[in-house]
Amino acid sequence: MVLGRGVKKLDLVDMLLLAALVGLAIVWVAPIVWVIGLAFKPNDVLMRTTGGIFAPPFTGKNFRDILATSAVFGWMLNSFIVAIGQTFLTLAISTLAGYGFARTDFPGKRIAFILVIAGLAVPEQAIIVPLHTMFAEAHLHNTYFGLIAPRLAFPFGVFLMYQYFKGVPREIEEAAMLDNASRLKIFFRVVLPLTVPAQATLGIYTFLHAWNEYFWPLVSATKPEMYTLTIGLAATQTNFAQTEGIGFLMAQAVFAGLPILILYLFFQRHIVTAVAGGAGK
Amino acid sequence: MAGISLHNVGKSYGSVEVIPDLSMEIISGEFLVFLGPSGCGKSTLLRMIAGLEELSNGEILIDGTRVDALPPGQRGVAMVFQHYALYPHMTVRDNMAFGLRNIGMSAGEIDRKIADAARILEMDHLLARKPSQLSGGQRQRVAIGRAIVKEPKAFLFDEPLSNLDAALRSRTRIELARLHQQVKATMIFVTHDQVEAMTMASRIAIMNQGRIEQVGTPLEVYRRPRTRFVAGFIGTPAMNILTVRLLGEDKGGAVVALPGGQRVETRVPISGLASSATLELGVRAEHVTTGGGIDGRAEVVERLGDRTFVYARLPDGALVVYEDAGDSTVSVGDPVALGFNPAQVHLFDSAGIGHHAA
Ligand SMILES: Nc1ncnc2c1ncn2[C@@H]1O[C@H](COP(=O)(O)OP(=O)(O)O)[C@@H](O)[C@H]1O
Ligand SMILES: [Mg+2]
Repeated sequence: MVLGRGVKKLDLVDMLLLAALVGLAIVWVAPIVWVIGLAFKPNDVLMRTTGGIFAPPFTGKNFRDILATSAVFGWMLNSFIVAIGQTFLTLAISTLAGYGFARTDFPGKRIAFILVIAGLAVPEQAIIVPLHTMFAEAHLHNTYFGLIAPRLAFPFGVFLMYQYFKGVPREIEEAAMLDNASRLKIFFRVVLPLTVPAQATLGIYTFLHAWNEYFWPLVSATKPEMYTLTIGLAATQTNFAQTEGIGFLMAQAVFAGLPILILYLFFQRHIVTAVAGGAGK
Repeated sequence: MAGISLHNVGKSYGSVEVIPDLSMEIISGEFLVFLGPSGCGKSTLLRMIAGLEELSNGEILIDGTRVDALPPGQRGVAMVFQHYALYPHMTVRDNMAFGLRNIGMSAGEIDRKIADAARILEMDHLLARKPSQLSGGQRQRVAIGRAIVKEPKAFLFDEPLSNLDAALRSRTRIELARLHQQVKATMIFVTHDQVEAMTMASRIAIMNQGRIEQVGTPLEVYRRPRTRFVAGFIGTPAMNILTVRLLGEDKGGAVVALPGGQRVETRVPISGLASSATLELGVRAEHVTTGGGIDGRAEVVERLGDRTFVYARLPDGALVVYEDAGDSTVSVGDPVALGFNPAQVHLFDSAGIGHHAA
């Protein structure tokens, strides 16, 4: 944190708070630093000790080994396709459904909305078996559609957008009606631009979740060429003898996390909002 | 510029009847104010004219053409909302241009209209800003500007001043009155604030529970309130209302008695009063004189500088407010003797209908 001009000098309470925050941050960051450190250590050294990560010898071999697994970029591509596909489709569906529930009237709206809300209470794991059966019967396993589709019915997203649309004053849409705008134009030109913060929240949340998702791809993607990065990396470490070593494992973790880190650097501001519950404007 | 006719307009939400049956003619070019307490159906009525609310009954004509089936955009009206309803993500310029672009106006003409409106409202320097960068008063201006550029047949205002502070409110009142003279369009203005109504209106329509109690110029409704409701609603402080008993007639005017027995002469013709079960006397503070035969005791003294309002308690418990000079020496607890100017006394019968001096 940089103290800008005009910021008052720190008093004792501020100092204590700052110290506590720094302490917590260190506790939180330490394992990550350790993981990164281990990723750059030779595996045979780590067989003896996992301490002393700041002392040589260092090596880039673990990362070279990952890249040498020729499939890894394919898996990364799969992860991107799934995460981006899921993000855009979730945004589209949640936004349209949220607007529909918030602003239009149709028969069965109450029932439909109650179903959506009820969906909030269903854990993903609870429906994995029927989902698996369903996709198996439709021969949709090992397809991008199969990887993307199950989480598109995302009640939280619908609910979030519904709440957000509710918060947009109706008068603004009415003003647009008096301004001769069609319903579609009102939606796309007047209302949608106002929901950008909510879209960012939902989009980032969905992308992160899709990128880290392990359970469903594990069930659905059984062919190596359809693995996502999480499944692929996990598949390379199934030997319990740990011949590939801890350093290699850590390098995998770092590698899988890199795209998220890059995403974070770009969307830092929105992610903070997303984590804070989308309350910020 | 257009006349607007409301024919037997009714509105119900389910079983709740908000406006039972309302008819009135709004004259082309006038500044008509719908005035009434909150919840009386003013916004509902305005929104029905705008096309934002469907009619349950009746019809609305603008310039002789039926519009109640037309969508809001095609009625030729512009509305200024209570909370401004600006498009938050658009600049002031785009806020004003949006409606014009939607009807396919050329960019050159749009620019010209925005420039004109910005000049009238003195807001050239705001055109590039977003609504979030404006003060409340400036937002209000933009909302009015957005209406002006459309050159509507009629302007509809829904309590547009209620979010402004007192100083800004009175300034905007003057500007709206000036604007009305400039653009000469029909303006319909809804408010619960009688000062706004009195200061701006060509005519005021006073509403109560979805019905129109009286339509008239500000002075008409002030001087000759058609009903007790109007009498109580218009004017600050509110008109004194006292229960009275009819005694008889003297010099062509009714003579009544206060509950304490004091005799009050009026110039109100007696015809139609005798049959009324109860009678109420109404008299404004400025028509209560000192030095009469009604005794009381000053309870509250409100000094406004140019004049003083004294609230006096009568022996029968009634409270009467009267206007005294700015340098009045009355203080709380002093005995006062009051009289009512007979020409300015109103009587309200049991149906609430007002009877005035001939
Ligand atoms: N959508 C609605 N559903 C049910 N009742 C409504 C609705 N809109 C307004 N009302 C009722 O209609 C009455 C008049 O409302 P409104 O026109 O907003 O009053 P005003 O503008 O004079 O304060 C109020 O009693 C209000 O509760
Ligand atoms: Mg209202």
